[in-house]
Amino acid sequence: MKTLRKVLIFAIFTPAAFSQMIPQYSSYSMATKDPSTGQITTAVTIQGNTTFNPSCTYCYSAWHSAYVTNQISRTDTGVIISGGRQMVANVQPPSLQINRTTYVTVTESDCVDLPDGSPGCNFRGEGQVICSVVGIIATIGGGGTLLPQLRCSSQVTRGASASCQVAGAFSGNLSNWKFTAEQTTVNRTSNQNAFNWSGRMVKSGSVSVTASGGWGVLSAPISVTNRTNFAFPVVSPVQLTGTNSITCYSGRAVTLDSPPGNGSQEGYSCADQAFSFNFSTISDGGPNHGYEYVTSASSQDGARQTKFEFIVVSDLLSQTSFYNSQCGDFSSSNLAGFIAGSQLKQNVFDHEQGAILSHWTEYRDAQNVPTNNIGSVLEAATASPGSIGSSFAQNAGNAALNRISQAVDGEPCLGSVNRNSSQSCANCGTINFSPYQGCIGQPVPHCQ
Amino acid sequence: MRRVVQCVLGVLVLLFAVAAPAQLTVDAQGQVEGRRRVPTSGSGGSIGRKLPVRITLENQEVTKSKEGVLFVDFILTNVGSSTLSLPISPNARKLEPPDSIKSYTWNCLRLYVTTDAAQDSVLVPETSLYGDQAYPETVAAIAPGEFLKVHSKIKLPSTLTAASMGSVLVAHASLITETTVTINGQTVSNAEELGSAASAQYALKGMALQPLPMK
Repeated sequence: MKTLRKVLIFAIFTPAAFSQMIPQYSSYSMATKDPSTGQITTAVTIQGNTTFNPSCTYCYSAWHSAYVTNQISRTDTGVIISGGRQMVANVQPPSLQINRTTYVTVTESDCVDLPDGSPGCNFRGEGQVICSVVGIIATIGGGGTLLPQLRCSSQVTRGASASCQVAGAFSGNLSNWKFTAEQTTVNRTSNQNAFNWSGRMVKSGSVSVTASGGWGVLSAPISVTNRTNFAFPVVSPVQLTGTNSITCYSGRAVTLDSPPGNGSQEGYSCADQAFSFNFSTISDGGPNHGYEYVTSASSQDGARQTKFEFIVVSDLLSQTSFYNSQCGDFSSSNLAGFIAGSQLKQNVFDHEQGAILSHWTEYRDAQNVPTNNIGSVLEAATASPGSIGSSFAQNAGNAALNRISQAVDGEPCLGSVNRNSSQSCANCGTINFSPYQGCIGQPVPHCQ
Repeated sequence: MRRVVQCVLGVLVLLFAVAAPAQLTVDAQGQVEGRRRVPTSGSGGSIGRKLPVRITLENQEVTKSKEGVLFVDFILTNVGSSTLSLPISPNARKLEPPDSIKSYTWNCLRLYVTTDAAQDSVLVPETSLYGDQAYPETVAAIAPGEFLKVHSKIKLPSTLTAASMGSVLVAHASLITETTVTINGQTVSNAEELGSAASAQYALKGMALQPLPMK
């Protein structure tokens, strides 16, 4: 008895533990429900001593979901709960007297949620006058209701297990356990009458079960949250040197004209994205049985890693004829002047991999959007039962990859390296292509 | 008798394919024999390689049922400079070895349609064609300029049918190589994408597909 009392006292201040107490009570009285009206009638019997402890702060009563504050009063005939803070509208808590049985009838529409967010009328299935536990009534032998209530792990991380159970000492039959998410339903195929259903979860949805005796369908939601550390990091740009050629993972091969001519490209970059993943099909008979999901993801595929490489035409990397022919006489007073070689070189670098507006920032910004980040997308990818193989994740990864690629396809400063993308695409003069026009004076970089 | 007719038709299709390879047609609308060994785990991956094919969609009809069915042709034209080897058998089972634990590798061409701008929402079912060089009849060589036409069938969700005016459809092709291994009763699939391609956008208007203008 002392042990039981300790458990009960602890539970009073720990609503989360409240439900865990249920199995500790064995003497319940059944509640009845009229399916046509929804009225629930239950008998509440309180037994025990009459020691009163006014510190009872959170007291769950048996007949409604209210918690009553320390407004429990005492009479000579025993404990009377009166004037408690009611969370049940329109229902006056009856006086409960020790060693007496009191009947109370409420309807489900009378119930409101508790302040902690737990469902109103969670007396269903509890069957105890726990309010009276703190020193007031040590033994809650009888009374209370046995209304069935489905309780599930409200939130689990994708890939972790969740469990659902029908709370209370419901002794009827259970059937039609199922999980529902969007257009998909997973029906339990065995142990339909079991009070528990558990398994690995990868998809948010709702679990439901039909309880006999007019209680109908009980349901509870399960929310699946994303795993962390799946997002792919941004890779830094890397210049390929000693070459004017580059081949992207997409298969596109580009060789820059050397020296550049009118219409040539002076640089090129490849946002080479790679991904791989492992997947698994859930086969535990639980609510997500048959679902596929990604168990791990990587930003490399075999030996090929995600990378951002770029090239700059070699004629801009040293003092070549092309470079030296960029006269650098463009100025506010000479808008027809040529760009400086150093400025053109800078513009090409800025265009491909600069930190302000470049193909690299396009890649960076696109892949940092969670709905584009291939790792994040793979993390959340699931396939409904019946799907076969890796296509669910392959499709999701490809779609994310393509969205990033499309973002990178945008041309900073409309693709013109006459303009400096780090200076809001300021014009820096025209390029002096071969046959070169002669220069007068030293080049002076200028953009406006 | 029906089986004989089917065989004759099959031979005719094959002869037609040999005689006119530029118009090779595969019918994947009918009953197909899915794979016998269904993987319960595995791996996949891609580096975003692009297949040198242009995909176009042509629809034959859309049934006006509650859940509409779109009978559509995927037309894959080789726009590259070299011959493409593409799998063409809709029946996976015939390529699986009778030995239930023997490993096998095949190429699979997956064709599917997405219905949203992000190209995430995939209509089911996908059409999968399987090929293995050990079964030459399951592989087609598509020379530059030639095309492969695949009759497919796709279910349209009722929401899409109702709001068909606003849907953007994009056809996709993904060519993968896949090795299937069965160990201790567990079947594992390890796939690697060889390349993919996507079509221009289409709109479903008046129960017909219409290409959308290029942006």
